[in-house]
Amino acid sequence: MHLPYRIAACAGFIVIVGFSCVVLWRVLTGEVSLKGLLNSKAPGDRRSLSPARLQLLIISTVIAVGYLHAVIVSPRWNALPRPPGGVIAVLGGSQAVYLAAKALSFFIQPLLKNLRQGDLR
Amino acid sequence: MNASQPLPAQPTRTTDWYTLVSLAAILIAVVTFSIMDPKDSLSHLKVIFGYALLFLMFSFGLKILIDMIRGQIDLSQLISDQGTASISRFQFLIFTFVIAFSFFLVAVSTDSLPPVPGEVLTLLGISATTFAVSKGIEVSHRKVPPGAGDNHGTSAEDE
Repeated sequence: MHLPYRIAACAGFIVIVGFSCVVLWRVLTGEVSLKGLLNSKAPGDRRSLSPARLQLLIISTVIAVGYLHAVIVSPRWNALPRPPGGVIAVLGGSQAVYLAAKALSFFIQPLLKNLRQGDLR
Repeated sequence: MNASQPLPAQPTRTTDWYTLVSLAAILIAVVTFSIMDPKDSLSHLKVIFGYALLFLMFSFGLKILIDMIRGQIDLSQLISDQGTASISRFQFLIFTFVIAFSFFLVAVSTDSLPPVPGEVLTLLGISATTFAVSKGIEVSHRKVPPGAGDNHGTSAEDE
């Protein structure tokens, strides 16, 4: 490896790993708060565990770790490995479920609640 | 010296930092220029320009990193939204770090910038789109006047 590449690699390593470590440290010490990460945030709702958020967290973490593993064990390091189409579909589906649940709790549920209250009157 | 006279302005730490970086960049450029073959001036220029860019980017990154460590850049709201943690921000952060780290590993091992497959861009695109749409849902709900769609209203505490 030539000297400029070596210097660039060291510089990039320091910056990228440094950013990651600082963010991870702040998360571990609680300065970056994870409070309410998995709770429903719809207006008027009690703070309860949201299954849509939980599945999004699990699937995102599994896919991210799997991709990092694929990069590290890749036999040829001349390009980024291609994630299979199924993995992208699963991720897209998971995110769509999360967004649908969020839209439902923000827009549809209050509307239905209003209608029900109107019927009772 | 008269005690009533104002003291000369002290150089700030930022000035020291930029001076140090500039001096180091000039030093590297001079050393590189002196050890290269004097016949090929274009490649001299390329190497010096490359070193200067590398040093500039590294010093920016390092400055940000040091400020983050010292606490001068506030990270407390990095994955928070309206006071509580946001899952869409969190997954976006994870994917950004994973793809950046992977790209760095491959670039270092090949000595060049590797091609980025469309599937990886799709992965990042899905992640970023979710973040943007999630934000859009929250903002559009906040704009609805109380009583128009529901009878709760939306307060900062609810969000």
